Amino acid sequence: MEYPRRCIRGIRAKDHITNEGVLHSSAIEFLPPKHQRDDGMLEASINWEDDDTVIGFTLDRRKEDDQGEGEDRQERRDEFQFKVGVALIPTECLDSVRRNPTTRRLLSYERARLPNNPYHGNILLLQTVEKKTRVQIAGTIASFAEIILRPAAK
Amino acid sequence: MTDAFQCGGQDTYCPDEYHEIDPEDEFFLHPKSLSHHAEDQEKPASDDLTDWPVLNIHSPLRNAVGTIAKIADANLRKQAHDLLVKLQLVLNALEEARFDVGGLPSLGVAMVEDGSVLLEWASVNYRLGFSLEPNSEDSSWFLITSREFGGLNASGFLTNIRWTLVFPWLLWFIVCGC
Repeated sequence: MEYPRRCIRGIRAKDHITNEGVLHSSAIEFLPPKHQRDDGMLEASINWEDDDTVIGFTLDRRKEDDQGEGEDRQERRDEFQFKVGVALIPTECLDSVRRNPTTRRLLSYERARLPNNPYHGNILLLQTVEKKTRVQIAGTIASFAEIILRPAAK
Repeated sequence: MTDAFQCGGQDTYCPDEYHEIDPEDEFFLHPKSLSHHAEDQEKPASDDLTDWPVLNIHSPLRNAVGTIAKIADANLRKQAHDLLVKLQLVLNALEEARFDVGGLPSLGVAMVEDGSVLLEWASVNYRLGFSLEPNSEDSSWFLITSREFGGLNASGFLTNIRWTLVFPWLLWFIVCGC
């Protein structure tokens, strides 16, 4: 399957950006999947940059887009999902982690379209990877990220 | 050499391992910046963050000190406190050796959803992180550098290590990377 040159990771919290404007490794967090999967992978949600509208699409996502119905739906409709901005991650960076002898076969990525998000995908990490290596890989990915801040967050 | 150490005055706190510095490590730790009388040292009864080894207004750890005080878990807060003290001691030693540590970026701190705390220096050329876990045996460091800085990608644990050997090596990249 062909993948675009970059993927986009939303930045939710201010402390995910350093004072010098660099992406903090904690912005790349691998979490257990919302829906069970049989390959034992953890997920870090992304959008694939299929065209030049996806950055704007991602910045415009509202909390309700991913959380569905609920009593506080209006409140979530008013709130951006990624309050701080987005990080652009080169696919080549993910491939370099996959090629690295110390992290080979630990990482992969996928396209996982959602009904309301055709660009959605995941960076995947084996659940059995020890935490030490997990943060190291997150740090490696964050090192290659280019940040676009939401104007109000600048 | 221990007798000559100083953390920053009376009633200041030094990590336990600090009292067990191997003579071989003296090369990395300048006696003037680290000198104190070990027998005079007393750990604070609480997580007292007011006493730090020569933590001045220019310290790149200054913001982190304020942030870690808000960590709810006492074990993690203690780990973070010990880590910052060790980092400051090494920075003091580097400063004594006439390295310019004043221009270092602030050490960032982030609380991670899985309950860990991530402290990190990050720039274009390097990324040095410390992941503090609820189980301190799992706490670790990682160092990633740009191709120009050797393309390093390394990690290791934080407990039961000779920090006087490892931390100066790690901080070398940060100090020289500025």
